[in-house]
Order: sequence, then C-alpha cells, then structure tokens
Amino acid sequence: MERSERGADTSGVSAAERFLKGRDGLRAIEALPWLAAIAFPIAFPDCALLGTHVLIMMLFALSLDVIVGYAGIVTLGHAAYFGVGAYTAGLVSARLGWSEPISGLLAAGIAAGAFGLVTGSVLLRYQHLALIMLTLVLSTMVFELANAWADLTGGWDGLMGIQLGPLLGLFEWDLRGLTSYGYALTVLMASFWWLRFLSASPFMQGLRGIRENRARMRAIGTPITFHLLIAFTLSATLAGVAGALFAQANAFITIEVLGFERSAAVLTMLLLGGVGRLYGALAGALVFIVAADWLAKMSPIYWEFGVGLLLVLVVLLYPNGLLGAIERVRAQCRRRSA
Amino acid sequence: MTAAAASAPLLSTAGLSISFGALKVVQSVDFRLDRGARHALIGPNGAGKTTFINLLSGVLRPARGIVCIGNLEVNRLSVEQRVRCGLARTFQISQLFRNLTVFENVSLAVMRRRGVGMSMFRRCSSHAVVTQDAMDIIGTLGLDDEAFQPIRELSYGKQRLVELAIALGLRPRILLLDEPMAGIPIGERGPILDVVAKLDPEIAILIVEHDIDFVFQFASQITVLANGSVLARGTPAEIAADVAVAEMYLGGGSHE
Repeated sequence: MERSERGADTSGVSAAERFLKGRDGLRAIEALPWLAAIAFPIAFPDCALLGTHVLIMMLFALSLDVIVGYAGIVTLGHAAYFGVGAYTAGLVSARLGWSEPISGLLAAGIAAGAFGLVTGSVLLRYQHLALIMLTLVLSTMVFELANAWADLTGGWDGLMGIQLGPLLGLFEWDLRGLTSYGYALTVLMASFWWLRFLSASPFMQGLRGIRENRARMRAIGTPITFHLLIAFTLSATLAGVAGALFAQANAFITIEVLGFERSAAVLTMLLLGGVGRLYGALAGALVFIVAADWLAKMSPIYWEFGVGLLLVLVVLLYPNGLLGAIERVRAQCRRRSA
Repeated sequence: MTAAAASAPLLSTAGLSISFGALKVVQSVDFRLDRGARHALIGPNGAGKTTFINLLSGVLRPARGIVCIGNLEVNRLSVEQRVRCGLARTFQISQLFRNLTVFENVSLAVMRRRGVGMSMFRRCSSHAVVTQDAMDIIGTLGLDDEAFQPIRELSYGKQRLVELAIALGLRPRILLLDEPMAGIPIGERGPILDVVAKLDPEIAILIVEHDIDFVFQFASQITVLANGSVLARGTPAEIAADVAVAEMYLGGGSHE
C-alpha cells in the first residue's frame, strides 16, 4: 500500500508521460507519405495534374476530419465552405484583377472562415438529424444563390478569366502542372502539420470529449457550443483554402464546387480512410480519386457504381476505414509477437 | 458544527419546485448544505431525488423557487457556469468518455479546472500540472493499474470509480453524488465506500443513496423526500425515530 502510494507520485506521472508520448508523439513512418508525395512528380511528371487534385481533396477531407472525426458532428454541406473559398480566390482574380496567388489564398481562407463562424453559430445549436438536414439545406441555398447570381459567378458556364501571377514572383504556372503540384503540396503540408500539432492539444482532446459524451463535458464545465464553433470555424477556413487551391490550380470553376456531390464525396473519402486520425483523410482522398480515375477509364458511365461498391465493402469489413484496418492488423501482429 | 451552520450555506434552495406535465416532481423544497456537510437524500423511487440533483446542477430550471451557491442566486446560470462556482456532480447512470482512457477522462476535468481546456498552442504533454493532478486522483482512487485502459474495457465497479474521479478532477467545494454505488453488488462496494468516506472533509457533500446502512453511518444530516416534498429531515438518530419515515418505508414494503 505504502509503495503504491509513493509510486503514484513518480512512476504514475512518468507512465502518463509515456502514454502521452505514445498517443501524440511523432513516429518515423509519418515521414513516408510526405516523401512519397515529394517523389511522385519526379517519378510521374505526366500525372501531376491528377496528383494536384488528390492533394487538394486531401486538404478538404482533413478539414472535414476536424468536425466529423474529432467532434463527431456529421455534415452534408461542407462544400459550401470549399465553394466560398474557391469563389473568393476566383473572383479576386477574375473580377478584381488581383493576380497574386498567395494573398488570394489567404483571402479565401478568411472569407470561408468568417462564413463558417456565422453559419456555425446557428447550425451548432442543433444536433443529430436536424443538424445534418440544416447543413444540407444551407449548402443548397448557397448553391442556388450562386446559380441565381450567374452574372457574378458565371453559373454553370463557369468563372472565366482567373489569371495568376507567378508564384512568389518566381515560378510560372506550367502546363504539366508541376508548379501547381508543389504549391498544393506546400499548403497541404503546412495545414497538416499544424493540425497534427493541434491534435495533441487540450483543445482537440476536448473535441473528442464532446464526441464521446456531451452531457459529461457540460458537467465538467465546458461551453460546448463555443468550443465547437471554434473547431467549425477552423474547419471552414481549411475547406476554403482547399477550394482556393482548386480554383487557382484549374484557373476555372463552375458552381459545381458548391454542389452536394462534392460534400458527399469528401465525406465518403473520410469514411473510406477512417475518421478522427488525420491520416485517414489523406488515405481516403488518395484511394477514392485514384479508384474513381481508374474506374472512369474502364467504364465512363458506371464508374460511380464501382466507387460505391468499394465504400460499402470497406465500411462493412473495416468500420474504422482503411487506416483502422491497418491499425488492427498491426495490433494483432504485436499481440502475436508478444 | 455550530460555527459552520451559523455562516452562509454553500448551497441552498428555497421553495424549489418543478412539474413534468401535471406531475409535481419537486414541490417547494427548502434545503441547505454547509461547508463540510455530509448530507444524504433518501426516499423511495420516483420521490424526485435525481430531479432535485438536476435542479441543483442546472440541467433543469425550476418552475418556482431559487437555487443559491453561497450568496449568489444561480437560477439563470448554466451547468458549466455552476461548475465554475465550485459545484460538481456524478451521475446515477455513468456518463463517461467510453473510448478514452481513465487518465484521459480525468485529465479532461482537470484541464477545465486549470483553465486550459481550450488551449491550442501547447500539447497535453507540456501541461505537466494536469498530468500530475490527474495521476494523483487516479492514485488516490486506486486506479493506477487501469489508468491507460479505455473505459469500455473496465469492470462496472471500476467505471463507477472513474465516475467519481472525474468529479474530483474539478476539485469542487460542493459535490453531488447521485447513487455512486448504483448497480454494484453489495459485496463489491468496499473500494467506493472507502473513497467516499475519505473525501476531503472541507467538501460539502450531498449523496443520494439507497443503502440505508451506509447512509446512517456516513451522513450527519438526512433529508427524506417523498412525492417531491420533504417528508422529514434531521440527524440519523432523528430520522430513525421518525414515525412518518418508518411508515413510508414499512408501508412501501419493497425497499431492500
């Protein structure tokens, strides 16, 4: 008894430190996806356009992981924030003639974040099915607004005339898309590592608490709506940055960027990869887009059936997504070797 | 005892009432809890005990009457604002973060109390005081061996201890314990009985409990609630001698 009490002061705390290091600490394997992402355009320079699209959707899926994976809030309208970012970046260039890309990107992040703050302060008062429906309704309204305002947005015909100056005044936008790829990768890495650091913070731990048990989080003194609103704003900002990258990389957007299909696709990617672990967003976006690209080449009409089948199989067999499946296999190997 | 009773109560109610539809669940209850109090709330099922706890903690708002923490009327304060006034509670049905570990469960409460619950710029591991406080509580409750196991893998008895540990992580001045031993077989109540008996004597405790032997041994004051109103209140000896209480329990017949 005496020994265990003394132990609680010293070995208990060091055990807790070991636990936190195991939970939040960096692993060598985390360098792997980034090395692969850097090597990719060197190995396959002709696939840089597809690669850029993957990177952009990775960022979009990451933004969704903050609220779906960590906070446990399901939304079917996240394309609204992606689209606000895309149109902000597109319009400052096409309508205002501002061609410097990085400031356009920041403006898009701020606009989408502000939109997230305003809409979130209403949406987050609701929960469950009501919240899902409201996100759907909100994004549909934004979509229809952009459609009605076609003089400004270009509607289904698209926003013409997005022109960008060289990146940092140095790198011209090349036809193979290598500059775009490097640009998107840099923004993705900066956003990812910021989230990766944040995932170890009390703030993100609090989001997990809200996901696990709201009543108890309130009972320990958490202002739930405020906590969620900050997370929602952060998520909307990153979604807007992803949208801005999309507009800038393609130099063209239509109101499709605001559409329900994009909201559904990004949620599908996240579920495919596994929620609440950041790397799931990366894996899900990669597998989804590569599979969709491959299936579309095989069958231009029925490819969506293949994507749907893939999702059904993964969710049935591995409810925690592809990364959850990998974690399970690794845990089994460790148990067998132990 | 007399000195404590003379000062302002830590927690008090006056004329507290609430109805669910036509059912008057709590009816004009006057109640006070002093510093260091060991107060038990007993009564048959459906007497309004948990509703009373929900009124005190802010989950429910009263139709009439007031709740005060110290001299402050808190009727309009939310659950989380009352926590900041030093009021913590546990739940009759465990409310835990089931996929998080014991250490993470307690840490969430400690982070709130330390004011770093929203901290975005430092990792959990660099908040050393949080880790220290959480492990202290875990050690006190004898949960060291399970500290890094997720709640869902714990035995029910251990889960009830975590339920208490989270509340203690807030270092409350006032602690409301809603049937801390609910669902634990009689023979396995030892650990939690020990913990409750050894709580800091400064904390004012209101406990709802059905185990009459424990209540009579633990509490210095007992309030008996029946059909939402106070049937009797007093020391254990007074309650034991109370005719109305005896009639209710004997008349009810089903208790224990």
